[in-house]
Amino acid sequence: MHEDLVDSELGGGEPVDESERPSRVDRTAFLAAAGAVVAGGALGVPVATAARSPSRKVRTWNRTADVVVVGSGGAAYAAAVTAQSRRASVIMLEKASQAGGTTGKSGGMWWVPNNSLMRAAGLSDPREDAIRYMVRCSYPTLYDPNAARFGVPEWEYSLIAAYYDSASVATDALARLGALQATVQIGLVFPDYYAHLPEDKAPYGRGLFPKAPDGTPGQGAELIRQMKAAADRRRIPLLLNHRVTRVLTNAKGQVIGVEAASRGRTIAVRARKAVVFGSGGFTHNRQMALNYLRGPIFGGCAVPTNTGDFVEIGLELGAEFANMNNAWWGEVPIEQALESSSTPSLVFSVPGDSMIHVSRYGRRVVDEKSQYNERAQDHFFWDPVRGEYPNLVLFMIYDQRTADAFAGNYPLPARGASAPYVIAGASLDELTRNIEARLQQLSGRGSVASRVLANLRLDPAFAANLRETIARYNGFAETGKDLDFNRGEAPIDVFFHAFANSPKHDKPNPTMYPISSSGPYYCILLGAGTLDTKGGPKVNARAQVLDTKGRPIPGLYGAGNCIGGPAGQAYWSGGGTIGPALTFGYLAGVNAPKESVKSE
Amino acid sequence: MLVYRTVEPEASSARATLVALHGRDATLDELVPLTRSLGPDLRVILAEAPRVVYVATVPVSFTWFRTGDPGHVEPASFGDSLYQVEQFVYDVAERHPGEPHPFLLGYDLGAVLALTAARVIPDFLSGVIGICGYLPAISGWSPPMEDLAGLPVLLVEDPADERVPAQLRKRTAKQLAARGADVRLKTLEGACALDPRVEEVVGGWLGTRL
Repeated sequence: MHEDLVDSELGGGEPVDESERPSRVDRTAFLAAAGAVVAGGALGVPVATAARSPSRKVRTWNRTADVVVVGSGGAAYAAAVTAQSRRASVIMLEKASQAGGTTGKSGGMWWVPNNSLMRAAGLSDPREDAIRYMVRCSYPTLYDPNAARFGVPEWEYSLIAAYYDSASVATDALARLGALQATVQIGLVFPDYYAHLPEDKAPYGRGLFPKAPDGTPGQGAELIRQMKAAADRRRIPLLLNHRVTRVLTNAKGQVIGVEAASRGRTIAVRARKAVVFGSGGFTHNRQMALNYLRGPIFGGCAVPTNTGDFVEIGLELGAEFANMNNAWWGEVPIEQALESSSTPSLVFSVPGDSMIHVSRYGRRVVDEKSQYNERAQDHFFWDPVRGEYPNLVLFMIYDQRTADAFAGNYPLPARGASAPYVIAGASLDELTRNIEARLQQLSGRGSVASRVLANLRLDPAFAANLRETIARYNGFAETGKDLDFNRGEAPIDVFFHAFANSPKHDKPNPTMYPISSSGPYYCILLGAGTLDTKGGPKVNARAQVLDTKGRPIPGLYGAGNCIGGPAGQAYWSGGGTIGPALTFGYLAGVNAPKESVKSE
Repeated sequence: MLVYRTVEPEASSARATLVALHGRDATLDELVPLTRSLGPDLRVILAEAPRVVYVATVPVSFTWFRTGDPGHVEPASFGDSLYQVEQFVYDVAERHPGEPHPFLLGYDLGAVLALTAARVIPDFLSGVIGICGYLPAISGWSPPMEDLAGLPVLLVEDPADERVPAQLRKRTAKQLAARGADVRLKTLEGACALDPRVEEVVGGWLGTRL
């Protein structure tokens, strides 16, 4: 669809700035060096896609291992280290020039129900309760507390059950292997994202962070450092700049290896037993983002090499797919997303108390303190009467109090600093005019699967409505009760607000304070984005990739954001991404070495 | 699109501008002590890296790009930041018409960007200062400017620098000089910890060029 528009005008995995000023920085070359662009293709869109004929006789194998692991993020390393510990020879192939994937640039948290550290802290997390919570959040339209499997089909249930049964086992096993040490220090006060729901019986303690050598909670870089060190100690080869373009099968349809492209050369790597994909999602493949995701996005903070390689490969191999419409959602400052190959950051928690999000009609549309995955989905609301996404661009409005008191809390600039993406106005009328001017300046510019539409304007009643909205919001701030969106009622609202060293005030709801009756006022344009997508080939509880008949494709495994995993639409809590990645990576690492050796 | 803070000289109007790029996992405030007293007529613009570093989803600092082994930069994030620094320098020139081109100072990862910028926009800079940085090699990309036409470059290195191998530091100086930069290399213990003597070295070097 819209081939001309897609390829020539929108970005996605590429620099898309269309500023009038020329640049001497050839960003295409940087992306190519990063492994995010394939020579000869449209920018950011892989051209040398998966094999058109999976079965192919290979006469010469350049490398051989029992298990070939594709990727080098959390899922891939969990699979690699686990498989090697079970006496399998392993080789890892990474498309990028650097190991770590999106895990490496993440916050590093992983969510593990019934983990041993929470048990040691005296917290219990019974199986049925935890599964009920996950089903409730992942499949809310099917959830039935009194039905078998809580109302969801067998596959959906089995993956969630497998996650509960294996997540803690995987975490403990990785610790024993010296691959990843965990701390629950923050997790004990970090609530689940739906802790307010009655189904959440263990709202604290499931979140783990990598334990840095000094004992403090580390981030994704620390997680990858530990896992890579473990893999290096085990002498697992990691070939960087190797993009797997084809999975090779024998006459029986069994997976026997892969082909990988590296700097103009193609090598064949024999997998005697199995191939495990942990190669990330498809955020930066604009065609996939347009075709699959259920809402328009402006960007994503996945590494730019996440262009859906396993989607292409899975299609060729006859895999069944799941969860293609969902992602780990978040909001991005649109103007930053337009400039970056990979959005620098999502707005995980919105700083400010005298702050609201409004649509182009000047009306609030969301609990601004809700967690990022939920806030982002408000951008997807479609108004069929007006024929528009009225929330495609939302306007984060705040006053000088928030600018000062929350300075330095992204995306607010540090005190005394200027941020080009912040629009200012001495009054609400002036702010309105300046927002209009900025929209015109950005007119038509886009990234991934959205653009600031050429005809996007503030509604003529914006300023008047905004005054009404502020007056109503200020009333809520005085009473402490947000009658429109329940702001500050969920534990995660309060946690994110308080954790950022937010100033205390004398109003009853800490997340709300009246917006000043006098300027200056400020605005940041926000759009939807992703941490990464979470759809792809379906796997079973052993992390085996399934075909359209529900049968495992012999020798093919998957984990992480490249598969259709257990989460459905939910983001159970912080670490809901890396938790399943590590767990299903571990499961792949356990089961792949058990495979028989496949003949060529 | 970089966030920045401008510090105008107190006593007089600015005659020159210094753009400062902080190091890894820091904020624009990191270089306040170093740049506070570099020159009475110097306007300092502290720029902040775009990539947020979170701990438990709380933003605590910023970084320019991802790194790997010593001397290795992740190309995509590096390219993003290099582009933004380039555009930022152009912005500065537009905001202060009629003034000399700015000096560009970088520390740690900021220095990697500043030194690379010397090979991208030397004609838009009055000089470059790199503290504990290096010129990265990126497969498939060559800096566009072959002739640096005497661009003054001050390299401040720390003999105890654990992140940038001595060989890479020397190679950086050599490469810049080979392209026609007027390179001065200063070795200073504690430079990578921003020892106060760095300010003396930088101030002295700038003083002869303002």
